[in-house]
Amino acid sequence: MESKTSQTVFDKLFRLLEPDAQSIDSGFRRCRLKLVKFFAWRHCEDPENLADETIGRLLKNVRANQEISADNPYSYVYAIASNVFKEYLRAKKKGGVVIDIELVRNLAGAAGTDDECKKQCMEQLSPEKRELLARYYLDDAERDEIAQEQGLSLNALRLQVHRIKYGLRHCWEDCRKHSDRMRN
Amino acid sequence: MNDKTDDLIHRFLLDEVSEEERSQVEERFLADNDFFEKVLSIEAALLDQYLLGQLTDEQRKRARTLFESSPGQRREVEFVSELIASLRATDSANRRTIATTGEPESEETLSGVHPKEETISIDSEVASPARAFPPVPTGWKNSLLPFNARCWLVVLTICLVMMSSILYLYTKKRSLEAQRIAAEQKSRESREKLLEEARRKAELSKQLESEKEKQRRTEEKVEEKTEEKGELTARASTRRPDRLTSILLTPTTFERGGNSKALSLKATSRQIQFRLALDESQLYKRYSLQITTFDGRRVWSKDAVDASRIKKGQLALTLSTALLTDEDYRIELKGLSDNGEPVHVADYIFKVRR
Repeated sequence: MESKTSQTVFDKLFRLLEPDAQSIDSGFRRCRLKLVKFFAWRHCEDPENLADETIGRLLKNVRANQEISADNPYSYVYAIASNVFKEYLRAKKKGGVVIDIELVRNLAGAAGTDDECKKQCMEQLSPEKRELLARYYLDDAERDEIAQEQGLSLNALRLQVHRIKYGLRHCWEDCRKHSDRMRN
Repeated sequence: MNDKTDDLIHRFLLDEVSEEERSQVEERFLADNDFFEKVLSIEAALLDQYLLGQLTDEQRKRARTLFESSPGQRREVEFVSELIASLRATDSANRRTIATTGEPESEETLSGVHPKEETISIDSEVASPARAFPPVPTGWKNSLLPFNARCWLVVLTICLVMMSSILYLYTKKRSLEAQRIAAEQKSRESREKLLEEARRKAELSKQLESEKEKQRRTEEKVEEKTEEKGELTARASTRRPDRLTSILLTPTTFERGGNSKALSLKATSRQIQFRLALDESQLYKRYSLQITTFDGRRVWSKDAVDASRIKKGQLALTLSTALLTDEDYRIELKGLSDNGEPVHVADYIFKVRR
C-alpha cells in the first residue's frame, strides 16, 4: 500500500512539474536534467548527486503533505535546490565533499570499438545532417551563410546542431554500452 | 530582445552576472522549457568556441571552470572533441581521395599531351560515361582534326588502366578491412576469455575472503565465549572466599610432651570444607566421621561415607561455620571393615576462634 501511495505522489509531482512531458518518466528525466544543470552551472563537483538529493527532499516534503503552488511549482524546487547548494558549500569549506571519480576505460580494444561506434552512428545520420555538422565545425566562417541557406537564424541553427549532437551522443553511448556488454 | 537574452545567458554561463541576474536566469530555465533549451544550445555553442579557440583569454578561463567542474561536463567536452576530430578525419580522408584521383602529371607525360592543353580527371563520385573522354578546348578544334587515332587509343587505354587500378586498390582495401575486422574479432574474443578468467578469479578470491572472514568471526565468538566462561569462573571463584574456605587437615599424632598441630580458622567464612588427608595404603570401603569438642560434645557426624568420595588421597566434608564456636575440635575418622566393625583411622584437630 505504502509503495502505491509513494508512486502516486511521484506521478502527481512530476505531472505538475512537467505537464508537457510525454510520460511521467520523461518528465522526471527532464526535471532531473534541469537540476543537474542548475548545480553544474554553479560549478558543483557532483551535480548529479546534488540533483538527486534535491529530488529526494522534494518527494519527502510532498509526501508529508507540503503544498506546491500549481502556478509556479518550480519556485519550491528552486528553494530546495538553493538550500542543498548552501549545504554543499558549507560541507566543502569543512572539506567534507565527496568527489566522484570517473573510471576510464583502458582496455586495449576500447579505441577500436569507439571508432566503430562513431562510424556506425555517423552513418545513421542523414547525409544532410552529416554535412551540416561538418560545415558547422570545420568551416566556421560559413556559419552565418549556413544559417541563411537553411532559412534559419544563427540561434536556430545552433539549436538544430545541438539536437543532432544530442542524438549522436546517445547513439555513441548506447553503442559503447552494447560493445562493453559483448566484451564482458 | 533576443540578443539581450542571449547576452544574459552567455554571461550567466561564464559567471559574469550578479546574484540577482543569476536567480532570474535559474528560476526561468527551471520553469520554462523553451528557455532551458536555449540555455543548453548557447552552452553548446560556447563549448564549440572553447574547443575551437575562439574565446578571449578571460572567457577561456571562465569557460574552463565551467566545463571542467564535474565529470558530466568533462564528458561533454570529450564528446564534442571526439566529434570534431571525427569530422576532421572524415573530411581529410575525402580530400585525400579527391587529390589522389585529380593528379594528372604522370598520366599526361605518357600521353604526350601538354599539361596546359588538356585535363584528364577521374571523379570517383561521378561515373558518367561522358567524363571518360577528356574535354577539348574549342580553340584547338581545327588543329586536332588530323589527330592520329592511335593516340586516342593510347589515351583510352591509359584511362582504362587507371580505372582498373583504382578498382583493384578499392577491392584490396575492402579485403584488408575485412582482415582487420576479423583480427579485431579474434582479439576481442581472446580479451573476453581473459576477462572471464579474471572475473572467475576475482569471484574465487572473494569467496576465499568471505570464508576467512567467517572463520575469523567464529574464532572471535569462541574466544568471547571462553572469556565469558572465564569471567563467570572468576566471579564464582571470587565469591567462594566469602562462603567457603577449604582447608587441608593432616592426621594429628599424639606424642607425650609433643606440640599438637592446630589450625586457626577465620570467623568470616560461612562454610568450611575440610579436606582430610588419608593414607592411601590403608583404604576402607566406607568411613564414618565425627566432630567433637575436646570436652566431649558432639558437633557433627556422618556415617557410611563411601570411599569413592576420596579424591587424590583426600576426603572432603563441608560444614557451616555456624556450627563451630570458640572451641577446640577433633574430627575422628573411622573406617568400616568388611564385618561392619569401625576401625579408627585418624584424628584431625583444629581450633576455632571467633
